[in-house]
This record gives sequence, C-alpha cells and structure tokens, in this order.
Amino acid sequence: MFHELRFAIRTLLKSPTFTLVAVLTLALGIGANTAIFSVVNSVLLHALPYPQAGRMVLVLENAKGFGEMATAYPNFLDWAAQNKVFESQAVIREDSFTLTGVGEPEHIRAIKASAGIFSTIRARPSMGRAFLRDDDRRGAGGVVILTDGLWKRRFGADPSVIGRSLRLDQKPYTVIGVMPSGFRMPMMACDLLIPVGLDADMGRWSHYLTSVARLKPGVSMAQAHSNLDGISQTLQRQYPDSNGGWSLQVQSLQGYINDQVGTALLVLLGAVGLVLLIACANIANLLLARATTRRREFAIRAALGASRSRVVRQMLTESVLLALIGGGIGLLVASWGIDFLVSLKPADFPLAETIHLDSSMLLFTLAVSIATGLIFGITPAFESWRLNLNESLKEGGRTAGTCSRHALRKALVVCEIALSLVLSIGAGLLIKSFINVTKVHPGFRVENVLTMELTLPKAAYSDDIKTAAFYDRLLENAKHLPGINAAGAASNLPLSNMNWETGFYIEGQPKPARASDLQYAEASVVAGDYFQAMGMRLVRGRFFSGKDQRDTPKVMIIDENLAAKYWPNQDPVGKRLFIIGGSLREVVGVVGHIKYTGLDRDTRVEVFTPFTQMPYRDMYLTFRTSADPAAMSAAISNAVHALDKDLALYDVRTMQQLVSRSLSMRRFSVLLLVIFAGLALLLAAVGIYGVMAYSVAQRSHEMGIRMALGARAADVRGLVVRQAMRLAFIGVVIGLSTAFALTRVMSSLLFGVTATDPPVFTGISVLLVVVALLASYVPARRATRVDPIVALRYE
Amino acid sequence: MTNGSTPLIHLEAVTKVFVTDEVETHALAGIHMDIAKGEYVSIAGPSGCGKSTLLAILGLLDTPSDGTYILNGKAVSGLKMHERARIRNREIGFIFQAFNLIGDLTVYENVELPLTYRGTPGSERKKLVHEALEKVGMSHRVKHYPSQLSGGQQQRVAVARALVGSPSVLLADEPTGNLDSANGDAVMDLMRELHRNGATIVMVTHDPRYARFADRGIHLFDGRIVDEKVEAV
Repeated sequence: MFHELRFAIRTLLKSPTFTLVAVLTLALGIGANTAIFSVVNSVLLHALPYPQAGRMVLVLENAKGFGEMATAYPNFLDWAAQNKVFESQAVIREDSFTLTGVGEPEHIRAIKASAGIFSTIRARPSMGRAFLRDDDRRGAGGVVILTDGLWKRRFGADPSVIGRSLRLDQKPYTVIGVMPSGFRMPMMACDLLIPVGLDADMGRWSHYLTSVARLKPGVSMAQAHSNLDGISQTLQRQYPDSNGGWSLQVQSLQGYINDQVGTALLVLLGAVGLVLLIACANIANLLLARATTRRREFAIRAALGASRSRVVRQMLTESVLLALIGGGIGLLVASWGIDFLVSLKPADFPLAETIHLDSSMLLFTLAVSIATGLIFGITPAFESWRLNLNESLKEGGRTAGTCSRHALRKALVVCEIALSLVLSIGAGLLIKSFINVTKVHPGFRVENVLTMELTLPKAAYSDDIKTAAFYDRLLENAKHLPGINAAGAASNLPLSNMNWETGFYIEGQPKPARASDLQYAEASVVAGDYFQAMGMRLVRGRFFSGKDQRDTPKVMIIDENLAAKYWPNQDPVGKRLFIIGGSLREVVGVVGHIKYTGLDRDTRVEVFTPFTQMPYRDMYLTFRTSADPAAMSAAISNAVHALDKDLALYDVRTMQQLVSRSLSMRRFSVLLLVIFAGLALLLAAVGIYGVMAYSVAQRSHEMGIRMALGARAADVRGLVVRQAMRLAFIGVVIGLSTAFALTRVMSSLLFGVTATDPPVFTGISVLLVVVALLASYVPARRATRVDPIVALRYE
Repeated sequence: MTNGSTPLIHLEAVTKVFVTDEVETHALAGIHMDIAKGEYVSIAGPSGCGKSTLLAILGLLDTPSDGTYILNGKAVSGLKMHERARIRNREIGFIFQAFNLIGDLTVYENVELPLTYRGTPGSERKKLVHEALEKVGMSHRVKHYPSQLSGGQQQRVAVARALVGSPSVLLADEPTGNLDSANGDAVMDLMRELHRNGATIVMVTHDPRYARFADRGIHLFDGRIVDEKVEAV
C-alpha cells in the first residue's frame, strides 16, 4: 500500500495542472456538500440542543374549520393536570419590554414561560434558581431569570446579581437566576424569562400560547394522542361554548422544525449531491483520458508481473488520494460556505446559531471524500483491468480499446447533462415561483412606508384613556412632521409574523353553539390614518374618522373578501356582525384584501376595529412618507420621546424590508439552487468540452481523411457539433424524464407553477443544448485546423 | 513527355520549402511536369526525395512555396481552403498506403463519404457506391466494418472510395506498401484495369515491379526529377 501511495503522490506531482483542476473541482463539490450537510445536520438531524430531545413535543389545539391554533391558558392548566403521558409540560410566549433601572432604557426580548419549562427542556440556571410553582401565578411578586448574554451585557457579569431589582415596562422585578451560556429556548430567542402565570389571560377564547411537553419514557405519540383526545372530549363537554368541536394534537418538536424548512433543506442537499456527482463524472473523464496515455505504463507493469488487481489498486489509490486532498481543501470551502449560508439565511431560520463544523462533519467529509474517490476512480480503474497487453505494448497504447473508453466517456457526459438538467429545472421552477410571488399584490402600497413597534408600559398607561390619549397626540404630531404624508398605527402589521384571529358571526344568524362553528377573521385594531398610510384601497363606505369614538356606536371595516362571502351582490355597509369576546359592530367601510401572513399564503377574511373603541398598548406605527422612509425614523423617534422619554421604539423597518424579509426563505433556497445549478452547468460544459476536445484529438486522423476526401471546414465543424448535440439530446431526454419524476418532491416549495411546468422544462432544455453547443464549438473549430498531411502522416 | 493533347496536370517550376526554426528544407526544387488525361504515371525515388510532398501538392493537400499548378485547365496553387476542398472532392481520388478507411463507418458509408460532401442525392449515391464496389469486387461486403476485412479487401474499398466520384485523377501513395505480395498484385491488377478503362493515375511506389505497370516512370532525387522514361507495356 505504501508503495502505491508513494507512486500516487509522484504521479500527481508529475501532472500539476491535472492535479490542480481535479483537486479544485473536488474541493468545491465536497466543500459545498459539507456546508449544506452541516446545516441539515444542525437543523434536521441534531436540531434540538436538549437532552433526549426525541421525547419533546408540541401540543396544539385544533378547531374544526379553523385548523391549528395556539393554546389558551386555562386549557393548558386542565390538560397539564389531567394527562398521564407527559413527564412535564409548559407554555411559552414571546413578549417584549422596556428595561429600565440598569443604565439606558432598552427594548428587550422576553419569553413568558410557565414553571414547567425547565424540567421540560431539562435546563437549569447556572446561578440562582428556576421558577417555582408559586412564582407562576397571579399576585406573585415579579421575578425574572436572565440569559447569560443579558447578564454579561447589562450587568457586567456581576456574580451578585441574584436578588437585584430591575424594571420592565416600569414594573419592578427581582432577578432570581441566570441561565448558562448556550441556553436556548425552543423556537424563540430571548434576553430574559418571566413567569407566564403572573398576568395570564384566563379566557378560553384567547389562544396565544405555545405548548411544549416532554413525553414520559416509553410513551408513544399514539398513546399521547389518545390520552389528550380523551381530555379534549371532557373539556368539550365542560365548556361547549369555547371548546366545542375543538381537539388536542401532539406533534414532535423535531417534526415541526422539519415541516418549516425540511423540504427546502433536503432539496438543497439533493442538489449539492448532484453537483458532486457531476464533478465526479468530470474527474472520471479526466482520469479516463489520462489512463489512455498511461496504457503503456500499465502494460509494462503487467508484463513485469503485476496482477490486474494490483493495477486497479494503484489507480484507486491515486483517485482516493486526489479526493482526500480535495476533501481537505473542501473543509476550508465548507467553513467559508457555512459563514456564507448563515449570512444569507432567513431571519427566522430555526436553530441557525447551532450551525457549525464539528467532529461529525470531519467524519462526514472523510467519508464523502473516500466515496467520491472510489466513485470517480472505479471506472478508469476497471478500464485498466480490460487492458490488451499485446496490443498496448505493440502500439504504445495509442489505439486499442479506444472505442469502449470513448463510449464510457460519452456515457459520463450524458449523465452530467442529465443531472445538470434536473438541477437546472429545479432551480428554474424555484425562480419562476419566486417571480410569481414577487408579482403578488399585497393589497397595500409597499413603497415609502415606515413601520416601527411601540409598547406602552402598563404601569404608566394603566387605562385605555391614557393609552388612547398618547397615540392620539403622537399620530397628530407626527402627521405634521415634514416628509410625513399620513400617520397611523395598527395592533398587527401585514408580513410582520404577528397576526391575530377573531371568531365572529353575522347578525341575524343564530349564534353558533360550538366554538368550532364560528367563522374566523384576521383582526386588527387601527388608529389614525392607518389605511391611508398603508395605501389600502377603499372599496365602499368610509374609513374610520373622528366620529367613531369610545361612546359612539361600535363600528368596523371589513375587507372585500368578507363582503363577497357573506353579502354577495349586496352592500355590506350598514350590516352588523358579532365579534366573539367583543360586541355587535356595524360595517362602515369595505377595503381591499391584504396579504397578512405572506405573499404566497392565503389569508382569512379581515376585520378592522377603530383604536378609539378598543385601545391597545402595543401598536405598530405606520407612516407614509414623501421621500426615503428610513430617513424619517429619527424625526419620529424624537416625536415619541417628546411625549415620553422612557419609551423605546424597536423593529424600525420600511414596508419594503418587511416584504423582503417575508421572502427570505424562498430567496435563500432560490439563490443556493441557482448557484448549484450554475456550478452544474459549468461542470457539464467543461465535461462536454473535455470529451469533444479529446474526441477531436483522437480523431485527427479521421478528420484528415475526411478533408482529403473533400470535407470543408463546415463539414468537419458540423461533424463535431453534431456528435456533441447527440450526447446533449440523449442527456436531455434522460434528464427530462428524471426531472419529471423528481421535481414533484419540491411541490410544496412552488408557487403559481406546477412541478412539471412545460415552459421551464422546455426553456432549461434549450439552455442546456445551447451550453452544449457552445462547449463543443471550440473543439469543433480546432478540428477544422487539422492539417490533413500531418494527420495522414505524409513525410 | 505527354501525348500531345492539353495536359490534365501541368506543374511549372514548383518548389516546396519547409522552414523549421532556422533550418530550411527544400523538399521540391523546381518541378516541371505534365500529365495527360488517361495517363498512368509512377513516381519513384529514395526516402525523403519528395515523392509524398509532390503527391500532396498534386492532391491539393498542400500548396507549393512557388511555381504554378494547373489542374484540368485551372490554376489551383493559390486557391482558398474551401475551394481546394471542393476541387479535391470532385477532381481527385486518393488511395493511401495505410488505406485510411474510417473505422466507425461501414464499407458502404466509407465509399459514400465523398459523394456526401458533394451533396449528391441519396438514390444516386446508392447507385454510384454499388457500382464502385462492383468494380473492385467488394459489393458483397457493404455492411462490414474495415476491421472485419483483410488488408487487401480494405485497399479495394479504398480504391472504390477513390473512384466513386469519377475524379479526373487517382493519386495512389504506395498502395501496396501494407499488403502481402498476393494482395499487392491484386490491387495493382485492379489499378491497371482502371487505367485501361481510361483512368488517369499517379502512383508513388518503391517497388520497381509495380512501377513498370505505369506508362511513364518519374524518378525523384533530392526534390528534383532526375530521370523520366516511358515504360514498354
């Protein structure tokens, strides 16, 4: 083996250009695979950084006609007390506060969690203690647990922080613990933890919490389903109003993450795997060409007594050595690639912080490198097995066996074309989907809108009058700022990942007996000139105005979809509907439908209530500006601080940024697939070029004969190009049928385009044929320069 | 030197100089030669005397460094590549020492090749190919590949390919060089038969036995014609 290795090193050093090209191709292929696999490994295979994470589940409530929804706190308390399948369970919710009392006010992210969260995720504070049951109830003294990051950043890693006081939204809290560095909550990021029970909404209509639980050892998902099903039926009987037609479901936490990004990541992994296969085919081609020139060497070795298996071993040693060098450099490529991927990743990409190169990735790279070396080395190695010694020694390895080797090289190129076509069609479908999504009109004018979030602390704005007065004055002042055309606010903003649904029924229809029989709508509370600021279309009636006050009749605005659904061919203005947990409201206007949860998602019908009749402390401010909206943020911040200097504005974004963020996962997949498809096309072009150039060199004698018989340059050029086109055609046919079967797996990633979209399939096929044409043109031109005299060996 | 009519081939002061680095090699040094239509000329001489260079120039595979070449009444020494290819296809038939059949094509396809380049319609091509193969006695091997034939048979196919387009002249470069004596004799008999039927043949050969088959023998030495005699047939 040592002898083979030494000779392999010498052989590779003797052909530095070949070695460099092969190593770089492999480094790119293996590096890209390692980078993507690192993401898959971190997010899909070892996603959850918790002990025995396989037992962690999400508990979802499900109402017939509504689908999955968040948990209502009283429901949680009931199933937590009654179930026999969970070792522990908890509810969590993202929230935000303005932190004061420790330096400058700062807007911070918090998670409100029930006391069971620590046993559920099996995490303990590194200092102090976890929440106790007594902390997690109404009337308890406010306590918080800091994350390591906040403790270091705002408390200078003070070891005596336990017991210190801080103010969140101007309410006092005591620090009781600090979580260790590296601590992560499932699916959410935060700076500190607060018990959810302090001020939990006790309404069974209020579904706003995420439930996580840990199965008892040995309990299956089916058993958990069955147990929770029994509990949900009991609750339906006990609370038919709120829980009628409602059920509980269990989903593994890993499964939930897989649903979010699994398909996209697996498509990318498949794509990058195809790139590596194409790279392998290219290098196998290079090795086959080299083996031709080395036939005499192999023949001499065999003549001197080397067994055929020894010759094969020598060839495989060389190819695996090449792959290992490529893999080593591939690790560097992977390290850069991971940085690149993380920089591109969507804002809400799950567990992005866990993506890194680790020892398992080193093993992966080693395994892929060895496998790659064997894959591209096996064909040339076994070609040497079929060596005809006598012919090879006699003819110096110039001609014998050329046909079969050439057929192999052509077959490899056909494979490359087919694989590139599959990959490019995948990329084409995603690009078309992306274009389709960007063409979707969101229902509002995206340009020149500035948005930001503002939370009024409960302590200072304890009642609706103070809250309403603040927003009234703020929006009135902002409206007169230079550059602001309209100022408004809403409780939730389209594409902001924050949406609220409300149940309702139409006046005159019987009140549904069960919660699941209600209709649901996206609901927003809006203030000031929100509709004008967003550029929404008034279809009928009017926008809210100064007439709509706290003590005037309750009004609402609905969207055109709701109007069309319930009052087709009628004027909905003046009709009334009953909002669950609210009151009967009269429709005063109809606006255009807007996309709330994503440009590529269908949303429910929409209802808007005036802020004056339902004041809300957490609002998204929205401003239509006459110039660059981002430039207005300082002026608006000043306007806010002129009214209350302790308020912090956060998540300042233009609407264009929000639209862009909503497309980020799609953009991420498209960009990567386009890069991989481009790489595949390039490798396929190099492959076609290589085979045609080799073929022209091998056939220079034939070209000479043809020219002697009167072939013109165009005839010779056509001969070469036709040969390449034949390969391209076979590759395209195989690639099309493969793509036809494979693109279905990415159906869930597509929008407005089928998995077998004829224009994409046709367009990409034509593109590939053009690439093949260009790649074969240079060798074809070279063929016309064959000197017939030289080719025919005149003196 | 000619039979008095307008020569099919007229060479006047043709020279060929190969320049490599600083060395100039005079392969041909002032060749004057006329070949009449229907004539059978053999060219002989030692290795390196310029036989194959002369044949390459006659076959428009190469251009003279200087001098005039008139083929069938047309000056051809200064033609462009594509014009030379066209004349080669229509006026000249090649027979090589190494046969130079294309291994991936059948006997039929090899013979058909010059007609394909000429753009001859398919039905006519078929007729001409079969006629040419009949002439050389190879019509029973149309679907064979060159590797399935003996050397003699391959050379017969090569002759058929040279004949198929009815060229003005057949240029044969050592046509028996790769054959045993029996096959060599058979090919030479075939050439003589073609000549009797009116073909113009220019043949390079080392073998004095076969040189005598020609009407006229030209002897080259150091790129010059040093001897020229009419054979008694």
